[in-house]
Amino acid sequence: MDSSIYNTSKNVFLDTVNANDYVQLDRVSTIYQSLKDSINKPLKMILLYGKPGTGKSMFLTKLHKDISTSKVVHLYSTPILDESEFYKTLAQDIFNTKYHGELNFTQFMKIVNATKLDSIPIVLLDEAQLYSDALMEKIRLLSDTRTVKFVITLHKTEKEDLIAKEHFQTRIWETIELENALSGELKIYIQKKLMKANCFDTASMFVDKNINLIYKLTSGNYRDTNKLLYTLFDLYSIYEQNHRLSSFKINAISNKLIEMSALHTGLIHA
Amino acid sequence: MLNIIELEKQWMRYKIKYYFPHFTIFVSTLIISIVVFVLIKHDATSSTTPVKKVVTPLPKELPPTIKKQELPSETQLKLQPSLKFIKDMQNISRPYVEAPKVHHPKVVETKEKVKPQTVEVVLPKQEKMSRISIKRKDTSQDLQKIIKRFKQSNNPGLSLFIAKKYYAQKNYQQAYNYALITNKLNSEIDESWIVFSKSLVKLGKKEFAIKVLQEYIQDTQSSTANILLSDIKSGKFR
Repeated sequence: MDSSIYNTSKNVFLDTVNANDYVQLDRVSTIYQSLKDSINKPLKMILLYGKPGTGKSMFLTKLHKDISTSKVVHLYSTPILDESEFYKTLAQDIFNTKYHGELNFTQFMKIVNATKLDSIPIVLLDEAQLYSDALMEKIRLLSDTRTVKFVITLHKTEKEDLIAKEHFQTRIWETIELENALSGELKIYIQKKLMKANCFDTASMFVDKNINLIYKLTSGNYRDTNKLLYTLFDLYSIYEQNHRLSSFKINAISNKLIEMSALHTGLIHA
Repeated sequence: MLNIIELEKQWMRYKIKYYFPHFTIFVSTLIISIVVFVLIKHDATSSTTPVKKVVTPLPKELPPTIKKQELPSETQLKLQPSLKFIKDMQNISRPYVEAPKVHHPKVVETKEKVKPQTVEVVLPKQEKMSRISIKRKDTSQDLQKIIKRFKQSNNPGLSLFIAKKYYAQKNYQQAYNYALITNKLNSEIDESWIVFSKSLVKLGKKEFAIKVLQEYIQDTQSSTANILLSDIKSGKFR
């Protein structure tokens, strides 16, 4: 086997959010399609929620990439926590208005009302649980004007708090939940990811026994799986460099190395 | 770079920790199984040892139809039954032969075909000869056990046995009760009707016993019942 294959495979699982790395799985594709359909509906706000590592950020990135050619869409992966800065950023990106100095909500709404747009811009806000309650209220008011459509992502627990607020219940017209992968989906996810990077040899090394162990360790969480497999191939590279790879089977991934990776990443403890 | 040696050590610790509960459960289960097995075995041996009883008065109770049986061993022991049993047959109905509840491994009881009046019992080789004195020990405790068994199984054979035992112990009221129960469970057992009628006579209900026997004879033409009826009528049986 090519000596660099483990390094290549390792890099496949780098924890980055890149729309090109999006792996199409049946269930996930259905959810993604429903999100895309929701964008075309006259909704004020779409809520995308799920546990950390279930692919919310990837969804937003992918959505941004897919609809940016046909719609006005702005993605804010990192929350802008300062209110004034938030309004100024929206004013500049959506309404092409550069504002110097402090910008409050009233002033921002004046800009919104004064500007006529051809189509309703879509604002994608990742990690919305980090925004303050006050700012979330302003976002709600802004969505009420129907001049801006929001797609927000947040962790499930935060969503539960948010949903509890009555005024949001009436405005969030669509909620989409993302979940961890099932065992079968995890296998497809791993193999598709590797095959996308032409790592066919390592992709074929994952047998059901390995997948079951990985699933047991990560509960199908995509982020944990990426971390685990990154470390796994890192270990393979090191064993290879030390010429100790012969102690492992070459046609299947070693469960021992998976467990060692899990120990290193903190998924299990000795 | 990852420290593989340290990671391998951690992995080893993890595996030990992981398998330790399984190992503990396995060992505990094994120990418990062994203890239970030993206790059961001990119970079994202790419950079999105390009572060694096989019927000796065979000659007295065995009907003439009992056949001889040969055991796969050389030494033979001949038991000569008392000829008195023929006479007794006139008075006593066909005895109920109950297989012993617990068999001692070394003692084998056999009842089979008998040439006219002999019973041959062949003992295993190692039981180097010696006449076996087989005694039947009937304690009230045994009877209680059989009553308990009867209550569980409702076996008419057992109730008949109990009736006969009570009759032998001169507890005619109980003998009557159990014979009645036996008749209810199975009305075709000759002996049961005999014990029933005899108990009635002993309880002073001679007329009723005669009536019962007459009806029974009418239905079954039982010769034993006939003999008993004539004995009761003539006053021979009181």
